[in-house]
Amino acid sequence: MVFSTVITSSPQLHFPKTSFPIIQRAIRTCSASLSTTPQRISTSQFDLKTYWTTLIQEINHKLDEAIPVQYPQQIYEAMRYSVLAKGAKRSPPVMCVAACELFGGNRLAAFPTACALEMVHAASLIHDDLPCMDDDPSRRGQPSNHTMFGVDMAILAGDALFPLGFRHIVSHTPTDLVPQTRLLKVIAEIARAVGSTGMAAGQFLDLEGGLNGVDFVQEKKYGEMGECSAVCGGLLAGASDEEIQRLRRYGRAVGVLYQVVNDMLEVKTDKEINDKKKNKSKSYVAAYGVDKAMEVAEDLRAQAKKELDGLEEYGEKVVPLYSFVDYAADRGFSVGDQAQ
Amino acid sequence: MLQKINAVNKVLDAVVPLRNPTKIHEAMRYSFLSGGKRICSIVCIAFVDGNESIAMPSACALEMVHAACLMHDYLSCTDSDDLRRWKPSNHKVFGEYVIVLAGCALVTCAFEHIVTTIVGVKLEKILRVIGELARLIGLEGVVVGQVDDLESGGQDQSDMGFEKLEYIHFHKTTAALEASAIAGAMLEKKSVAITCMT
Repeated sequence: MVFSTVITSSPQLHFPKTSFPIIQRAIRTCSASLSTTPQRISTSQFDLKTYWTTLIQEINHKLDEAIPVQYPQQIYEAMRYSVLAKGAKRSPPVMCVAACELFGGNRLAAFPTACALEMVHAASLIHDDLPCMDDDPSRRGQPSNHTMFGVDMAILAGDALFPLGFRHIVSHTPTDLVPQTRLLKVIAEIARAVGSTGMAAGQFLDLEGGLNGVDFVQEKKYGEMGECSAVCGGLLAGASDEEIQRLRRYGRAVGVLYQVVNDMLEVKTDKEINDKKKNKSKSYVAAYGVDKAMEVAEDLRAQAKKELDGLEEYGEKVVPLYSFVDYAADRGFSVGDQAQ
Repeated sequence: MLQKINAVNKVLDAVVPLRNPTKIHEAMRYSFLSGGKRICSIVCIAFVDGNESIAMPSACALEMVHAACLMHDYLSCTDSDDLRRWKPSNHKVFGEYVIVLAGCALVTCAFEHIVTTIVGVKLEKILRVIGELARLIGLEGVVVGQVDDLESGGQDQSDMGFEKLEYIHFHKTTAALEASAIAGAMLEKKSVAITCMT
């Protein structure tokens, strides 16, 4: 793979074929055996909570700077309302930064892309909550964007955040830290993940209902963002094609795992809310029941860690990504409760 | 000019093929394959000295984002237009939620198209085109024009004041042409002093 500053011999940048691995998932009737667990770097000493909350503060600061209020005020307020919402865990940007640092990248190189991921994530959530979509009047315990600002403004806020994310990457990524070829790959990756065969497809299939499998919908709706976040971090740091594919499978597994566990946690809440979600969206709990959803979660945990096992040469730099997997499954602490 | 329009249409037809999920892609294609003067793409190509091969990815991307902006513009909660070019508006044919998703998908497809297909252009210029396109379809262009239009409510244009009216039209409409010209000028091999159109 050879790049020149002027592309002449190759008709286009080389983008390794992104196969879309169907996460092999067996709905087993017995618990997974742990006898084949490889020797892994211990994560028990790693303080994920401090690592994560520190990053959240940095990312919040940069997001605040990226969307200053100016004329016309309402659109900026609507964008900030969702992007800077309290309770946001910043999972996509944190995963991006961690993946970048894993391969020796500087987090300063990753921050603009990390912010862009959060903008795009917020945009998709704003649109998902609209009355014509999931029709959610609230998000994270607060009024949804369209409840606060009206449907038209919410649509425009989402519309503004997508290009703002791309622009932020181009205008803020330090060129001395990230070669231009990598930036272009990051933009292509985000565009693909969010687009008509990615998250948009997942949301559409979720709303359409019908025979679409829960596996496929969950991979598209939630796996894509995890995959994209991890891959972008790797691209920024110059990871190899094989390493990128590992990140792709890792990120996808963690993204879906996170949602499966969310669904299980919601089972414990108000029955009325559960019935509403069961009727509207596809979840493993709704499709298979809690016990089998737990097996799926453990399977995804194992898959995600297996991908990281192939990156053992990076030593302790891989620990944050391991820790995310356990956090997604176990939720050992709270994050995203920081004041803005 | 007709030749250029046909060339643009041919590429657009190939860039967004019908694939799964079919309905989203049908909605995307319905917008930009249902006629159109292709002013954005023609302007872009013209600014690259008519060099189609260099300009085409950006020209098509401009048509895609223009179509996306119009799709959301015609939604019932914004400008509420049920007809476009005497045909049912996209949201009337496919439903609002499909249009919300398809519009965003068209925008991201446009950026992906530029990055993955542009040929014979320095990487720095490609990034500049991306940045300019993002700027002018977002918070310095179409979106803020639409916001101001919305906030004017049902106000008659004659009551609006010239400055307000100019702001709306400049950002809603002219920004797209500005993006087309700037993208073309940036791609042009010669250094060109680019100033904003007013």
